[in-house]
Amino acid sequence: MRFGVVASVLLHFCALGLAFVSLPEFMRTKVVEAPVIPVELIREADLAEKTSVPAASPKPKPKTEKPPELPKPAEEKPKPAPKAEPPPKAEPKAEEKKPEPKAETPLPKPKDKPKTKPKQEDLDLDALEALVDKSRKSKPASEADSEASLEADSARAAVGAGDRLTASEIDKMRAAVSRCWNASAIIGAPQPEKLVVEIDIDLNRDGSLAGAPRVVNALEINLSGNRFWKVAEQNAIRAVQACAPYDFFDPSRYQDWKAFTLNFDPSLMAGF
Amino acid sequence: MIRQALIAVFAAIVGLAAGTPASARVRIDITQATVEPMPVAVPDFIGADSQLADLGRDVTGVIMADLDRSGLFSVIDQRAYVEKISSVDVRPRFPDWRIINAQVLVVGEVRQTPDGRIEVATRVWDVYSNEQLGAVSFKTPADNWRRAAHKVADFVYKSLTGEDGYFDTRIVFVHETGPKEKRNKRLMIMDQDGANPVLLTDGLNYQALTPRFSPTQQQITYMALFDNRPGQVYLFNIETGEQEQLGTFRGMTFAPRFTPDGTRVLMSMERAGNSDVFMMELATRRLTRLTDNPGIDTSPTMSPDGRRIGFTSDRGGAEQIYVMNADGSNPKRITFGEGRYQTPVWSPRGDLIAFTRLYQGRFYIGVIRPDGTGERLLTESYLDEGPTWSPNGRVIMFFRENSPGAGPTLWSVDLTGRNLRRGRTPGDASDPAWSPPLP
Repeated sequence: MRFGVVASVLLHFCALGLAFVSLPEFMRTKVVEAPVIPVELIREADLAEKTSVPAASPKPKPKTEKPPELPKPAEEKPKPAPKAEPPPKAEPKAEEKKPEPKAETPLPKPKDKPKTKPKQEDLDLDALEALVDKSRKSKPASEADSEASLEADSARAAVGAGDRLTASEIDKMRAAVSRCWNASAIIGAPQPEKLVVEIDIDLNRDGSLAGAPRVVNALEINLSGNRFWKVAEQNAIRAVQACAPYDFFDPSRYQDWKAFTLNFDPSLMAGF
Repeated sequence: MIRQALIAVFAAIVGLAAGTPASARVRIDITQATVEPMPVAVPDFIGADSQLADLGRDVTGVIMADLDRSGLFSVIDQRAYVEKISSVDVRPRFPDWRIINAQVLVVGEVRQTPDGRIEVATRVWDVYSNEQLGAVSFKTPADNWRRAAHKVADFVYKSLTGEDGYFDTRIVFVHETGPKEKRNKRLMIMDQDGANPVLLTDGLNYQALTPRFSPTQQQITYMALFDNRPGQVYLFNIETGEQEQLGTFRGMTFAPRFTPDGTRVLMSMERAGNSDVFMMELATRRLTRLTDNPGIDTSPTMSPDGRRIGFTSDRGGAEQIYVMNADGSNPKRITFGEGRYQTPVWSPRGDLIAFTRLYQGRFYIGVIRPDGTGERLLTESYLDEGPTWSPNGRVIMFFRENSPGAGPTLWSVDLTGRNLRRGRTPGDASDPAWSPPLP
């Protein structure tokens, strides 16, 4: 009897103690664990700059033949809005232009003119007429072109359009050079990952090489005495020469792609 | 201070020389390449008369076969050539070669010298840069034209890869005849392309096994297996035909291999059921014990710098590859994969060790760095065994049996695992050994 009372009192104390410790836990509101979704913020200005890169091509053209005055306001206004569309625009242009250079290989410059025409179809006819007249009167094609490209440059600077190539254009260049870079001799060499060759190339408007490729780290290669590196250098030069002409760029944005530094890096292929 | 000023001046000069400022250049990393044989054009070597022209054609055939077999070059079909070469001393019309996608052009001529020998003159042209990559000429007796052709192929190979060629070399191997249960094994030597096979041993009272070339001279060491006494290691001078036994031992000696300087022979010796690695000085015949372990230590191979020795040992259970110092100290295990690792062979370049791996009933030839990293398996079959390196460390030759009971044949593979090819031998062949370049 006595034992029962003592046990009961002890159990009651235990129950109260447990309640005291655990009750606050039940009262607490549970935090829901939600997966964290990373969001990359892009400021509007940045976005505009990115998407406006390909749009650079339409701008110069109106200006080159702008002397007639009329098209200027008409052309410049629409630009801010269409900035979002450029990617689709850029591609058709490249496709249209490709066949032309191939057909008339001897003279690169006249090619630029036909290219401008399709764009002017959007203009009003008066402006077009004025353009044609002006070109007839004025200067020989070559002069007009060089002047045009200068104006194009200044126009681009003024509007703040891109001075770089798009990712897809860079990919095209990378793919073209990779296709001609034959690394079969390099990957069997000892420590192929060290045989990096950096080459500067300049391009003409038709995409052909302007002058011989220059090896930036030629001094280092020669001083190393590593004959495998010398072979890697020859291979890289051969690749650049074998792949020319690089005629897939938009000639109106010649300033953007006239010079490249190509870094031939076999390190990722070292595992064969 | 002066150094900094010089660097500044140098940088300024470089800046001026480069037409376009660096900032205006678009920088692109090229990290992907095609790995294909380089297209090479090799028109028939010309000759002043019909006899020399015929010889020129034969020389060209050997060069083309050598280049093609390397897997690094593809020789363009001669029927596609536009320009007909009429002199090796006139610049080729490069557009004619570019149009058929040739990257390199090899032209040559066979001439008669006043002393009755022939001269094979060659020029190698880079078709895209319009530059000569090299020119060379070899004079030799007319009946030695095959070696002249191999030398030209070596020259082209070196011009285009930066490493020495391996075409002017020979292979010693075990020529096997007779029924499976009573095999007759004799040593045979041939050019690396399979030409000129010659038997070296008669095989009447012993079987010849595991031939190994000296890296410095035309000498081999091999193991002779007798019916009535333990096998012994022999030296064989290929030029004189002289043979001598390397010491007389109660136990069996086997798995001999020269050290890179050719002055010593590493081998295994079996004593009371235990095998260890020994090194013998050839001049003094002094024998040094390098391992002393209850496990079976065998297949020793020395690094080209002479500082380390790789070998097989089952001291840890299954056979694995170990590397120790040349004096036998500090052995370290370098292979840890499943199965068994055998016959390590140090590359002449020193950067890799080739081995045979046996795993789940299949054999593999592979390579691994001497520190145990970068293991790569290059081949697989029912039985792949006995790897030997080309003298430039680029190609591995081995022997293969495709199925139980099938005769062994010689094969070669590039160290990248590409270009697996069967070698040409008269009959069954096993255990190849690649010679150093011929003098």
